Amino acid sequence: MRYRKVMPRRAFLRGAGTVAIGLPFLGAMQSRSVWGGGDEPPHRAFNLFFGLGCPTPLQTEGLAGPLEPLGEVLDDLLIVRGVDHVRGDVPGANAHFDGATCSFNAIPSAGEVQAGGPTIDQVLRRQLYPDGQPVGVIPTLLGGTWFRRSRPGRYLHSWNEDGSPADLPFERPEDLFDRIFGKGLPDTEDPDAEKRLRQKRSVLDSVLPQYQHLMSDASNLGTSSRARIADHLDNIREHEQRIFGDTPECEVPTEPQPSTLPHEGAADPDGSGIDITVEALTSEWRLMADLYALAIQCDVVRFGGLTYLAAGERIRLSGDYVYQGELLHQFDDMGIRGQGGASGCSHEWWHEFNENAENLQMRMHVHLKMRELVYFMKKLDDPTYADANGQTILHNALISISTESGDGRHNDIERELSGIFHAFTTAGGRLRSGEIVDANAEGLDVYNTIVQQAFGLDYKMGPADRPVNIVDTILP
Amino acid sequence: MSVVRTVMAGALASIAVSGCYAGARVSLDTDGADGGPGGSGADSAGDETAGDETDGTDPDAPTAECDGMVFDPGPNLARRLTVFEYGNTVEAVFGVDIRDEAVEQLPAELRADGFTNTTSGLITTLAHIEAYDALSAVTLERMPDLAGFVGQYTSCQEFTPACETEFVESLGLRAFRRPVTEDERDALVSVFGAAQDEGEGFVEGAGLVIQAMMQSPAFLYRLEDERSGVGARSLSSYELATRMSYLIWAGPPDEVLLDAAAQDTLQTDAEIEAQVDRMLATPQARDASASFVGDWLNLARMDGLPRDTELYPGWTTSIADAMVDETQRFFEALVWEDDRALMDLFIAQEAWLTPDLATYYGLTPQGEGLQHYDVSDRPERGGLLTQGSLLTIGGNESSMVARGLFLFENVLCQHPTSPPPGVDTTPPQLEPGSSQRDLSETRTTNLTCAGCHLQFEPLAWGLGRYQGDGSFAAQDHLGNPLREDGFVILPGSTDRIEYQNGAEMMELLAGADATRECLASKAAQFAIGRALTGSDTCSMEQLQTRFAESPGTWRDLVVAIALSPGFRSVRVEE
Repeated sequence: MRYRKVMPRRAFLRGAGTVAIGLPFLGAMQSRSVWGGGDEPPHRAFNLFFGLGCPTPLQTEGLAGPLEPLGEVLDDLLIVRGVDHVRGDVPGANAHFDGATCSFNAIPSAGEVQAGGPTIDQVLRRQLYPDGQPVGVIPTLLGGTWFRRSRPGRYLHSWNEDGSPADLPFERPEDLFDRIFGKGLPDTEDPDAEKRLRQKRSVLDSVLPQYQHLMSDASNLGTSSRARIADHLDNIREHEQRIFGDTPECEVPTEPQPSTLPHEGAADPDGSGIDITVEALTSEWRLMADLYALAIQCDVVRFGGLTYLAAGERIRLSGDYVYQGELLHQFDDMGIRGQGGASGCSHEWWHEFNENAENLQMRMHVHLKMRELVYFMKKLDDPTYADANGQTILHNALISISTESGDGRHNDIERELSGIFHAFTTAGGRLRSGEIVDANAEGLDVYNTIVQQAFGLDYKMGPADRPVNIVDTILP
Repeated sequence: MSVVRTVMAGALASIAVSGCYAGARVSLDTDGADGGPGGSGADSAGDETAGDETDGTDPDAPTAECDGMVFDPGPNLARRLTVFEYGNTVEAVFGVDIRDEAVEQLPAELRADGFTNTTSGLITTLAHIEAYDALSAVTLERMPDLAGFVGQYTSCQEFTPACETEFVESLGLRAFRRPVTEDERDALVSVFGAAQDEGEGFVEGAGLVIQAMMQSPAFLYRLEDERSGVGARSLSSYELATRMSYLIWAGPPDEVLLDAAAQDTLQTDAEIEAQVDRMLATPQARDASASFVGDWLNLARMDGLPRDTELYPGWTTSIADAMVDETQRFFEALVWEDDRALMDLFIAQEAWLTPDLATYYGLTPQGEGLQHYDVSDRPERGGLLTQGSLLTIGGNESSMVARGLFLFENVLCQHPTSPPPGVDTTPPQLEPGSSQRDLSETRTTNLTCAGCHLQFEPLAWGLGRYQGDGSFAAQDHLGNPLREDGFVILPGSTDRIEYQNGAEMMELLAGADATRECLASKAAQFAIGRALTGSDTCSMEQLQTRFAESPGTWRDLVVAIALSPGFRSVRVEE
C-alpha cells in the first residue's frame, strides 16, 4: 500500500534552497511506508533509554507519581515493575555503566564498549529479518540527547550478537538528518557526473565480492570477524543504494540548524557537568525525536533507539517546567544545591534519594523524562501514519523503555539494580497493555518471554544453560 | 603467585583464569599461513584455502607454557584501522597525507577500556563507508604525479592482462600488507576494463584501482586467519609483520618488512628484535608512541577543558593545550632523545613548557615555544604526575577520589569495586576547615568506605598541594592548608609505605614493580587492541619477565611485546 506520492529525496534536495519545509511542519506531512507491502505492518523494535532511572518506591505510586505522563500513551503501553537486573552488576565497573549496559539485554557487560550479548532490538532484527531488511532501510539507527560520555555504555544502548555496538549514535540533529536523508547528490552541473557515477559503480563492483568472499565458506575468518565484515557489507549496500538506487518517497524537511548544545568533550567536561535550561534541552531532544519519528514514519528505519540523557548524567538544569499547560516546577539544580561542578548536578538528587522524604527535585526530573519519552511516542501514535493494518506505529512496534538502576546507591534500597523501571508497547497486541504489572522477575526472563512467547522465536538471550522462566504477567 | 598475576589481579578478578586450551600448543619458530584470511602466501597466491600447514600441535616445537599450561592467545577480531592508522597507512602506501580530511570525515573512535583502539568498538558505519569512498577520491586528487606513482608498480602501461596484473599485484602487496589473492586480483583487474570502456587511459584506470583498493577489506581491516589449525597457531610472517608495523608505526609494513615476511626472516627472536630496532629508528615510531601516551593518559580530555575562572582566573584553553604539549614533549624527550627507563617518567626533573605555561607554573619563561626547563630545584615539577594534563583530573576542586582512581587504574592497573549498596556517594562539600585531604581521610577511616578508598585515595594525597588547574599552592581557595604527605599501599600488599611529599611518592611509584608491570600491561593492551583477560596471563608473564630484566626503555618494552607469545599467535576458532 503506497501513500501519496511526494517529492523524492533527490528532487527535493535539488530544490532544497527554495523549498522551505521545516521540522515544525512535520505534522502536516504525508509520508510513510514505501518499502513494505501487504497488510502486515513491518516488524519494528526500538530501545528508549533514559538516564538515572526511577527508584522503586516511586514506581509504586503508579501514574499518580512521576510516571504520570505515561498515562497519555497507556493504551498501548505496559508498565512493568519489579524487573531485576542484578545479573548486570559487574564488580569493578561503574554502577551507572553496569546498569545501563545491561538495560536492554539483562546480561553483564564484557567491557566498556562490549555488552555481554545482544539487546532486544537486535535480537528481533536478526531473527525477524534473517536475510536483512528491505533495501533502503537503515539497518539500525541510534540517536539521542545526552552529555555524560566517559564510557560508551552510558549512552549506547543497542548491541550486536557479539556484544559490539550495533551502530554509533547521533547526538546532533543535523547529523541524524544526514544519516536519514543523505548528504545530497553529486553536482549535477558537472558534465562528467554520469561518468563519475559509472566509475564509482565499477569501483564498488570490484569491492563487494571481496567482502562477500570473506563471508563465504572459503573464508578463514572467525564468526565474530565475519559478523563485522557482514555489517560492513550492509553499509556498502546502503551506500550504493543511496548513490544509485531508488530513494524513499518521503517528504524531507529542511536541514536543521547546527546544534548549539555542547557535544563531545565540551559536553562532559571532566565529569563536572554542564549548565542547561529546560528549553534548550527540550528543544534539541524534540528535534531529534521528530527526525527519528519521521524516519520511522517513512519506513527507513525499523530498529534502533533513542537515548534521553545518559546513565549517570550530569547536568545542572534550570528553568520552568510546564506540563499540560501548568507550571509544575522551576528547576534550579545549582541554586538549590548551592554548589557548582559535579556536586551541583541533578545526578545527586538520585544519590540523596530517601524513601521517607519528598524527593521533590528528583521527582520532577523523572517526570520531565517521562514527558519527553511520551513526546516521542505520541509522534508514533499519529493516526495519519497508521500502518496497513489500521493501527498506529506505536501500537504495532515494540518500544522497550529502560534505564539504569534508579536507586543511585542511595540510602534505603537493599540492592543496586533491583526493580529497574521498564515499560513496553504492546507490539501489535503481543504484549499486555493499558496497565501496570508487577513482574517481579529477572530481566532476562522478561526479555526471553518477549522473544519466545510474544514473537514466537526459537532464540534465547543469556547463558545457554540458563532455563527461561516465562513471565506470564506481561502476556495478553 | 607471580608478579604478573599480582598486578593483573584486579583486571582479571572477574575472569576465570582458565583460558588455556589443552593441546593448543603454539609453535613460535614455525611459520603459519602466508597471507590473511582466504589469502595465501607469495608462493601460493590463488590458493585460497592455503593456510597454515601446521595444526599447531608439533610436539618438537618450542611452546609458550606457563605453570604447565599451554596458553591461549585470547579472542581475536577483525580490526578496522583506526582513523590515526588509516591516515598513516594512506600516506605510507600512496604517498599522500590526508590525515586532516580523515579526522574530519571519519567518525571519531570510541574510547573504551582506556584506549581508542579497542577492537570491539571499531565498528564500521555508513558514515565510514561514505568517508572511505570520498577519501579515496581525495587521495587520488592529491597525488602530484599519478602516472609516476603508477609507474613504480608496473613496467608497462597498456590495457593488457600482464600490465594490469603486475600493477594490482605489486601495489596490492603494499596496500594489503600481503600478496593479493586470486579473487582479489581478478576483482581489481576488472576495474581496468571498466575504465577502458569509458575511454580512459591506463593511468586513469590505475587510479580507479587505487580507489578500489582503498575500500577493500584487506586495506581497511587487519585480518588474520582464524580457522587454520587447532586452538591456536603462530602468525604467518605477513601477519606478524603487520602486527609489528601497527604496534611500532601505527601504519603498514614497509618494503623491508614485507621482504622479510616474504623470505620468512621473521622467525627467530633475533630477527624480530633486529626489525624492531630498525623500525624504532624512524620518525613514525615517535608518532605512534605519542598516540599510546595520549590514550593511556586520556589527554583528549584536555581539549577545551573548562575551569572555573573565578577560582582560576588565568585559565584558558590554550593553557590546557600547552599542558598536553608538555606531556607529549616530555615523553618524547625522555623516551626518544634520552633513551631513559620508562619509570623515569615519574621522576625525571625535566619540563617542556610554553612561556605561558611556565608563568602559570610560577617559573620564569625562557623563550618562545616549548622550551626545556631543568626543574631539579623545583621538586613539585618533576615527572608526569606533576603535569597539568594529569593534575586537572578531579575538576575544579581537585577531587582526591577522581585523582586517586585515575592513578589506581592507570598507573597501578587496579580496579576498585563499586560502592556498596546503600552508600551515599554525593561528594561532600569543601568548606573552611575542611580541605580535600580532610574529606578524603573521612572516607579512608570510615569502616564502610575504607576498604576500597584506602587503596586508591592515598595516591592522591601526594598531589594534595596541586589545585584543580595544576597549580601548586600552600592553601586552597577557602584558606585550608594543603598537605602532601601520606602513604601508599601497593597492589598485593597491605603494608603502608609512608612518604613525606609528592616527590617521595613518585619515587616510590617509580621504583615499584607494580608500576612497571602496569605500564607494560597498558602497552600490551594497546598492541593487541583489547583489554587483557585471563587468557593473556601466560603470555604476559613472559612479557613482564623480559621487560623486568631489561633496562626498561620504550625499546625494551616494544621488544618484550613483539616477542611475547600472545603477540605472535592467534586463537583459532574450533
